[in-house]
Amino acid sequence: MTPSRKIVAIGIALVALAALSFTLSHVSLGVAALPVAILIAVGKAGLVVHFFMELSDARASAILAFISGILLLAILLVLAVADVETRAAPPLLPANHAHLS
Amino acid sequence: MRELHADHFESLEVQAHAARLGTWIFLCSELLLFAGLFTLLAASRAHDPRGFHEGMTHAARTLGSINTGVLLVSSTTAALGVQAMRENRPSRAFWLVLTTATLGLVFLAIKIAEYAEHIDEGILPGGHGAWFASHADAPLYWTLYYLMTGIHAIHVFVGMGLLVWTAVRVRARLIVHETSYKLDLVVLYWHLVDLIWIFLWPLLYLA
Repeated sequence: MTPSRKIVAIGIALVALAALSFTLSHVSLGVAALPVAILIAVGKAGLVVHFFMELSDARASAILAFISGILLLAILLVLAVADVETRAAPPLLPANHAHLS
Repeated sequence: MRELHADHFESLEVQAHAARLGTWIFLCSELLLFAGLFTLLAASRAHDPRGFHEGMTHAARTLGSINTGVLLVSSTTAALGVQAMRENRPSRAFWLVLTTATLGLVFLAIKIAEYAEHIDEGILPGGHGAWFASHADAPLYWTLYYLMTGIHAIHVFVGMGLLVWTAVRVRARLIVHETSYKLDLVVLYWHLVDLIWIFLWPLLYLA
């Protein structure tokens, strides 16, 4: 397959995955809806990074820069969401401070 | 014959590598800008799932999805443009890069139509507008919607400008087969803009 044909094939695959996401958004998947949508998005992102941005062909320094960015993003996301999800309910205001609110 | 690389680089190959590494580091800094926004989105959604559900059921899913298709096709034409330049076909590369920029314009036009529709309905950032009188839970979703899609749209606009500028330089033979890496750098930025939308679309419109 010529490089141009390969690029067109990847483009078609990307649009097909987007169509799959759109179709699934009309199906009631319950709590699985978000993980499924993100999983498809990760698949599309993988295709773009690997075939269009050619990260695997880049030198190690560029790969390191990109992986560092993704790693920092993941740490930030996981810790922030874990914080919000595990917070205890705020205590009630003491009676003698209630008038200040 | 004029050297194609700057004096302080040993060779064109070294210059291209330095430019590519610099671009990847720049893309990572862009990623970290959006990291803060995605974190805000994820934490807000975890904190207020009902408000997000209410907001998302009213989002312009069809227009957002058409825009996804437009950006994915634009990434494909951009990659084809890079390939054409590598094959020493500058005229083909010029038209492909210009097509990519035009698709960026289509994306922005659809985005403006989407904003106009929401503003007409009385949906403004910060929970302002008549729509929120009957949808009191959704202000946070819509504020993040305008913030994130707005910042993304600014990136599309900048990317379009860079693509047109690069296309003109290809046409004027200021970027040639040997220096085609200069087109790669701009197209890398365009792919990042696409990557960000790949995640924004499901999180703001679909699920």
